[in-house]
This record gives sequence, C-alpha cells and structure tokens, in this order.
Amino acid sequence: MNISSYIYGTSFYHKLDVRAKLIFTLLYAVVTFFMSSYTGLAAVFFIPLLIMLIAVGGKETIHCYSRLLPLFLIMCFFIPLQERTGTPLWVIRGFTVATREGLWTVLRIISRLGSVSGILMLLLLTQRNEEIIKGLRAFHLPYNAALASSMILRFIPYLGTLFAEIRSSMSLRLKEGKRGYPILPSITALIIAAVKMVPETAAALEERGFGREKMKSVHMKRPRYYFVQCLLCIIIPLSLLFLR
Amino acid sequence: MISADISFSYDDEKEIFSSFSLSVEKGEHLLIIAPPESGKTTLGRIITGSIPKYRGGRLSGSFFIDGSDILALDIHQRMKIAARVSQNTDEMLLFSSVEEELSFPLENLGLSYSEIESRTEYALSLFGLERYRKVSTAELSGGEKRRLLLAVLFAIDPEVYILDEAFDELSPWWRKQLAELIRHLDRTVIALGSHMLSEYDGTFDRAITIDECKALSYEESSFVFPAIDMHEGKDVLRVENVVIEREHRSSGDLTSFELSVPWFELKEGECVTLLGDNGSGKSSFSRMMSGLLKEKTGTVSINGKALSQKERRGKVAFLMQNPFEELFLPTVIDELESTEASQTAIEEALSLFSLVPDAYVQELSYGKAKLLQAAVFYLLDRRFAVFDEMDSALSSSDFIKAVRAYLDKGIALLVITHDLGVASALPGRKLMIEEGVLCEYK
Repeated sequence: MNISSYIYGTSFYHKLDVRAKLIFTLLYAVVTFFMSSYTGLAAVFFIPLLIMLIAVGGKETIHCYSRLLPLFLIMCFFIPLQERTGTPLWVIRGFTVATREGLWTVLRIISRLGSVSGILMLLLLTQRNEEIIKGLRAFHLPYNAALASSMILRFIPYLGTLFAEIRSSMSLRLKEGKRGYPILPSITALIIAAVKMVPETAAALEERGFGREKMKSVHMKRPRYYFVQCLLCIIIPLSLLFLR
Repeated sequence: MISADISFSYDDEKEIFSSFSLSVEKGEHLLIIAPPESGKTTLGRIITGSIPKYRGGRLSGSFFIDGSDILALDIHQRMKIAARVSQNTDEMLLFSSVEEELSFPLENLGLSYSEIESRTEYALSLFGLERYRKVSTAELSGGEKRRLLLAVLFAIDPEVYILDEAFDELSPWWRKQLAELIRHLDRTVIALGSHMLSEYDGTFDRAITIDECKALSYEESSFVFPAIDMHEGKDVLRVENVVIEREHRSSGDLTSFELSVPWFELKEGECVTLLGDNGSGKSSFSRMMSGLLKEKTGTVSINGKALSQKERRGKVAFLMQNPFEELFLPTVIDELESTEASQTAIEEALSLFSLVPDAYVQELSYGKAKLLQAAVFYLLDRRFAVFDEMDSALSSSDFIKAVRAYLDKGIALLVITHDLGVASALPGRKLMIEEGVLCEYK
C-alpha cells in the first residue's frame, strides 16, 4: 500500500506551519456543520476548492474533486426520492420525484461532505505525512494516536486511488470494442483490497519495529509569525459563522 | 547460530513445513532456491513474525537465533535480530517519502537523531537513492522500490538479513552491486529465490532447496533454455514519435522524467526483449502501449490505424510487475471464467499454467499469481502482450512455458527483463532504453 498524496509546491498554504494548518483544518470541518444558509454552504464548499486551485493547480483539483463526483451523483438521485413530503418541484403522473425540502437536504449534505473532504485533501496534498505526525504530537497527542490519525486521514484518498487502479486494470480485461469497466467486480475488488490492507499494514508496521521504543518527544521550531498564522487560522473559520 | 526445526500449515490444512530443519552458521550466506509455492516467503514471514500472527496457520517447533527462540518474541522485538526485504515491495512501503520510510524503523530502534541521519545517508548512498530522499514512494519504479527496501534493511542492519527474491526487478548493474555488498557483509544472510542467477555465483556459501516440506541440499542442474520459434503474422503494432512524460509531484528538486520513442514496431507472433536501468521508463512505455498512460505526443497504431488510449486497452495485454494488481476475484476458476473463454480453453489454460481451479487468489504465492495473470490474458486472446518482468519470481521453466504458450498462439510479445541470460535465450530483437530514448540493444 502507498498512502502518499503530497504534492510539492511553494504556495502560501504549503508554507503555512503544520500546527496552524491542523487548527484551521479542524475548526473548518467543525464550522461546516453549523452552516444552514445558501451563502454559508456555498462559502464552506468553495473556500477549500479555491485554496486547492492556488496551491496545487487546476489539474490536481479536478482530479481530487472528481473522486467525489460519483458520491454526489448518487446523493442527487436518491435523497430527493426519500424526502417527498414538502413543496413539490417535480411531479410525474402524480408521483412526487423531488421536493424543495429534498433538494435542500441534498445541497446541505453535498456542501458539508465536499467541504470536509476538500479541507482534508488540502491538508494531505500540501503537507508530508511525517510533518502531520509531528504537528499532532506537538499538541501532545500520543505517538501511536498521531500515527493512526495520519494513516486514517490518508486511507480514504488512498482508497480513491486504489479504485482508479482497479478500474484501469479491469479495463484491460474487457472484450475488444467494449468500454467502461464492470462496476460490481471493481467494488468487490476494492473491498477485498481494503480488508487485506489492514493485516498487511499492521504486519509491516510491526516488522519495522512499531511499538518497540517509546518515541522521543517532538520539538518543533516556531517559524516567523507563528502566532499570527495560528490566530488567522482560528479567526478565518470562526468568522464564517457570520454567514451561517 | 541459527538452529531451527519447525512445522507449519495454513488454516486450510495445506502443509508448508514438516519438521523443516535449518542450521546456519554465524555470518554464513545461505541461498534457498525453490519453486513458487514451496514456502520461501512463508519462511521469511515466520522468521520476522508476521506469520502466523497476521496470516493465520499452525506453527510448532523452535527457531533459535544466537541461542534465543525468536518464535517466543513479539514481532517488533525481532527487528534487530532478523529483518527482511519482501518479494512484493508494495506490502512493506507505508509512508509518504523515501526519507520517512527509512527513518521510521530507525526511530523505533531508539537511535539518536544524529545516528538516524548518518544511517539514512549511508543507506541512501549505498543504493543510489540520494536524489529521491524527499520523493514519494508511489513515484518510484519497481526496481527503485526494491532498492529502497534494501536500503531500509541495510540501515536497520539486523543480525540476519532475509532477502526474498531481492535481486528481482534490479537492473544488471544493481544486481552486481547487491551481490558485492552481500559478499562483504559480515552478517548472516538468507536469500530466497525461484531460479538461479549468475549473480549468485561466489555470493553465497551454500545453497539448499525446499522439497516436500523439508530443507534439502540443492543440486544445481543448469537450466538450458530451449529454442523457441516465432510464428509471425500480418498484424503490426507501431509506435511513432512518442514522448512520454512523468512528473515527480512530491519533490521540487527533480525534473520530470521523459522517454522518447522515435519508432517501435511489434509484429504479430514476434518476440522483442526490452532492457534498461531501473526507472528508465520500461513500465511507462508498456503502460502507454496498453492504454493505461497517455502519451504527450506521437501515435500508436495497429495496421496503420491510429488507436486512442482507450482502444489500446482492448488490443494490448499488459502483465504488470505486481500480479495482484490485476487479479480481483476470489478463486482461480473465477478469474479464468471472467474472461468468458470456453470451458475447453479454460481447462487447457489450467493445465498449461499448472493452476489449481479452487485455489484462493489472495493465498497464491507471488509466482503462482504471475502464472494466473498469464493464464487470464492468454484466454483473453489479445494479439499483443507485454510481460513486465514476468521472469522474476518464476522458475525458468515456468517462465519459458508462458512465453512459448503465447508465441505458439501467435501473440506478439514484448518481454521486459533485467536478466541478461533470459534476454539472450529469447528469440527476436533486443531493445534497450538508454538516456531516455528507446533504441537497439548493442
């Protein structure tokens, strides 16, 4: 397994201290759940997207968000069907397909999922794994918890990459002239790979001596304007509450 | 120094070792040569501890190293005693950069920062990875990943080095380097291999094999590659003026890699061998030909008809280095039936590639998985195929069997290998990638 998604860059977000970035990521993810206005939902969705565009460019941003698209589409298809009580917007032969309330629910979920995924992807794209672990440990998180958190953060984007690889391999096995890929076997293969990854990762960690020594405490130097960075990373997400 | 007597069987009752006795002197370099599925990788995992803890099975007996039974120790306690380079490089790489991959075990050894730094620098220089220090391991080629795992092992510097098919995927130059390093190493080395390599000569003090679950002395029978005929047909795959680019996204110090292919032709039924250093772009070229990678410029055509990236996927079979990246279904028979081939063809493939229909894919050895991968694409009936280091992890006879099966069917083969013995035994043209350009091998 490979859990890397870091992309080298020199953007302001790359340069931001990892501790400030972790504060920003956490607060931003929490603030997202307080949003209930159109403006607020749009803001929390588009801010990570905009920073990502600046930090890693359009190609990578599209690549990251395209992984979420299938999920968004499934939500758009099925959630309105579940919420059919309310102001009808689309009715076919007496059957209410979509209501105002249903669409609002979809919008809210997509915005929250998109913003939380976006801010996490942004952290992983602009910060190396070891720095994230160091940052978490600087907040006195135990080493094992910091390592586990960092791996969990990477597990979801990694599954996206793995799924893309499975799809590519599957496409090599299609009959000539056929396009696409078989969805069910691809998902099954992904589940098998994900399940297999758990003991493999645990074994690899242990063979590399994980748990052998108590890790030394981390001393991170504070960059210039460290407190200003932290302050801004607290103020910006909290100020979004005015839009809620 | 090593004195072991173990018995082991997997949960499905498949017996791997039965009173398997092994004794190795301190500082001895032992080579274990045995075919796929004989238990080589299992032995390595038993010594380091991931079997039976993470893969199940029943283990009995003892395995003494320097007087202490390592089977009684936790996995992490064994790292300083015995560590291994795994056959499947992907299963051991966990972190986001080469540097982190190296520093993690060293931190776990409780070394000081200066010692970690000096060991990291030493290991990187030993395997020519200095410029990849900040690079993501996902951006390394198969051979570079292997060198990284070797660097990790040499940085840990355990009492016993276990090298599971560690010469595979390395270019001839790096194979010689590794053999040289082993010769001068004053540690105990247990190397596991499926077939003899010329680099083993003078590197190991003794060779044994595993047969019927027991360790036996190895009697070398030099394998003579049989003559293989090519049955050339009409179809021609042509690559013209292609440039492939690959970026190192995780590091700003490295320029992006570029491979130029002015002209390449592969005729139906022909066999072409491709050689080149690790990371030279052999796999990228194959991925491009089979439609998994988009070329920057140029065209790929069959019989003069230019093919899009997606169209190539249905025309060119690509047997990846890691077979598990292409196997998805629970059992061998599920995999073969998914090709929609006739029952007769499936039975023929089962016998040709020596496969057991009910075997679980995830439990296959690396070598057996390669044979299954070959069987799947054999049944898919593509006119063109790429064997990406298919010879690694397979016995010479199994590899030749696969090559012959494809060529007899009239399938054009591009064989990527690092083994010069294999390259010279195969029929047809030899090509190489040198300084970013595909050219004739001289």
